[in-house]
Amino acid sequence: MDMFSNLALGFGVALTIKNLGLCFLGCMIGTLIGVLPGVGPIATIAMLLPITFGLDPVGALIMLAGIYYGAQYGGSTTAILVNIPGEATSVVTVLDGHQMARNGRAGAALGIAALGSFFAGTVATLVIAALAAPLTRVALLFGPAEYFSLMVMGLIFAVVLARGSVVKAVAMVLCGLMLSTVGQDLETGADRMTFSWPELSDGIDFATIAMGMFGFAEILRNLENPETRDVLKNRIGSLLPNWGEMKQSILPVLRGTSIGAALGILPGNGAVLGPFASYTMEKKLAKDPSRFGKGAIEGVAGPESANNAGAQTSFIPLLTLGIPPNAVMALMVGAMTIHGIVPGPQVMEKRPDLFWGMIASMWIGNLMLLIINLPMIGIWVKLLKVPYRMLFPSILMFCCIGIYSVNNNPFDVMITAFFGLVGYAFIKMGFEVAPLLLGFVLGKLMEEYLRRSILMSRGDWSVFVDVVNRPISAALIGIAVVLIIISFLPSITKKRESVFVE
Amino acid sequence: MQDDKVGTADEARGFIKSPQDMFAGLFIIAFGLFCLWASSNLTGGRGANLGPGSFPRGLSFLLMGVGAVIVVQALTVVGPRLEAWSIRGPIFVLGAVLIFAATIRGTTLNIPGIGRTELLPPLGLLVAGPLTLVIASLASNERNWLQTLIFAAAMTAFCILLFKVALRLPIPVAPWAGW
Repeated sequence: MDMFSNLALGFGVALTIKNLGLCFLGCMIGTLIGVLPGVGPIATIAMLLPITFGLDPVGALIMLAGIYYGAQYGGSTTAILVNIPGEATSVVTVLDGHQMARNGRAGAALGIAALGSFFAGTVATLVIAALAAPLTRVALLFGPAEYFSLMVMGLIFAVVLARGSVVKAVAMVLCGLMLSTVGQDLETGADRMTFSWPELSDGIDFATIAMGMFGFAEILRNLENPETRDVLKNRIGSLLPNWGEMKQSILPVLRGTSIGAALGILPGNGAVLGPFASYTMEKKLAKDPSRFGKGAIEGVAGPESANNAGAQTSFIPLLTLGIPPNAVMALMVGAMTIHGIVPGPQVMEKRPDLFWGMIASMWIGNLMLLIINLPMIGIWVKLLKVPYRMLFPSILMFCCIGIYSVNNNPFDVMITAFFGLVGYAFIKMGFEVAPLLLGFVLGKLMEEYLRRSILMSRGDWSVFVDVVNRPISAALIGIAVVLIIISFLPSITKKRESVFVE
Repeated sequence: MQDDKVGTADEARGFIKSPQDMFAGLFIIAFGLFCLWASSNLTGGRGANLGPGSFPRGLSFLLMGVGAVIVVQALTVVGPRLEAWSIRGPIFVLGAVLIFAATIRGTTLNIPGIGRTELLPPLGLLVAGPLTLVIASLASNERNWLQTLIFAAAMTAFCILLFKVALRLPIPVAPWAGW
């Protein structure tokens, strides 16, 4: 089978001592930073990006993927032990995970989260390996019009799935697209909106926006809300769930994995829905739904598996189509570009070692998480007790050094401070900034495809909805329109609110 | 995330039902106008050939449209008030970042009439590090000078070991001593 020979190639690359070491280091540092309260995966990856600069591309991407999984898992640990969800996807874990911890079953909750995630990661790795080749072939059929429509649909997905107001999310996407146009025009070389600042003619660096709006703005917000950290004082207890808990968890893990994996593939941030969908499903299927919210192990096992499966399958749109589905994947694009790799269908053909090596290292990374986390949980608990007044200057320092190192240019650091202020203002105005990041990353490509499509159609704007000649593009636009309409239906709006409130 | 005060709908509100949205909408409209002005010197292109100005200009109009929708929402749907801005956090946190940027490699400005003038010599991480950490610490309400100073020294040493020694990033540590 093709898929297995490819995976064998991948494991050949990933199992070298050096790459194993990098994967281990990535998982380790990722968990270390991700466990800190108030530091989500996006901030973690943005902060740690520069430490991969000196590596070769394969090593760098393996390490970054490790950092990503580590950060994800670290977030779950914080959710269970401290009752602070690091990011949207671990909101659900808090509900029953923290209750389990209060009932003295913290160990079991952490254990089942790790085991479920590992299982989900294994399945998701196989899904990626199986779907990558056929999807890449589909991608080769895409012309500029299809790509443009696909990106429109992806952005609409992201908008509909963002927290808070849909209209405000649209505004953020537009701001992101706008920021991406700053700098020299690719076709004519004209300076756009640079105000004659030579520093701006190369465009705004992605890392400065990411770190400013996520790293710095987050710090400013956390400083305002006096901390109420409810670190667990109970014993953690045995990390292995007992037999009864294991049996209760098997089906939720299986269901969570399938939901998460399926939603993660969607362009647009589908992965974020996985844990919510899984939790709702488990609650509906349970014999006694009232146990949920009081420490039901199904409420940890299902969503955690869904979370990890989605985190991993969201690599699929990035690796096959070159379109990042969420802010984390947008960061991955930034990292790939720094190493001179343009993500997209051509990566698999031109750099099979990199492509399959990264996929194989995903599975290894999941295995490592299991090995690292179970014995090291004591250290993470100590980290959770570091006071914020020491934490945030350190985070700030890492960010400064990180941004400076991207181009060895202090100007980038100043730009980041500016975006920190903008991000803080956005928070105050009730905007969610993740869609902005996505818009920014897709902006350059979108404009290029738009201009090419219009050029090829000789100025005919109906090319995107031409059902006869461009059915794929028309279908994608159709889906986007339907999504927008659905999101404004009153009944759905209510449901959406309740999902994000719960 | 933020405090949801949407529930307090009984509260008497005047003409503007949601001050936060009002501000947000006006901001987006203003940003759209600003971008329209900023891209006004770019050619828009005709027919099949979209120029460098087309995309930004189109986005400007979309931004203004969406901003207007948010404003209308602010006038019709009751929403949260505008939260107070803290001054201390932004000043010390972002100030610390700017100090880092200014000191790490020094600052030279091109002042008209005088030419390039060195405002700050390159100080390197050895100076920029503790400076940034101490200034940032001022943003917190709790203060313990001794602890802060020890922490700043230890953290700087850690950063030098991690980034310069272990990862070999080309960041200046002590340029005045040739490192």
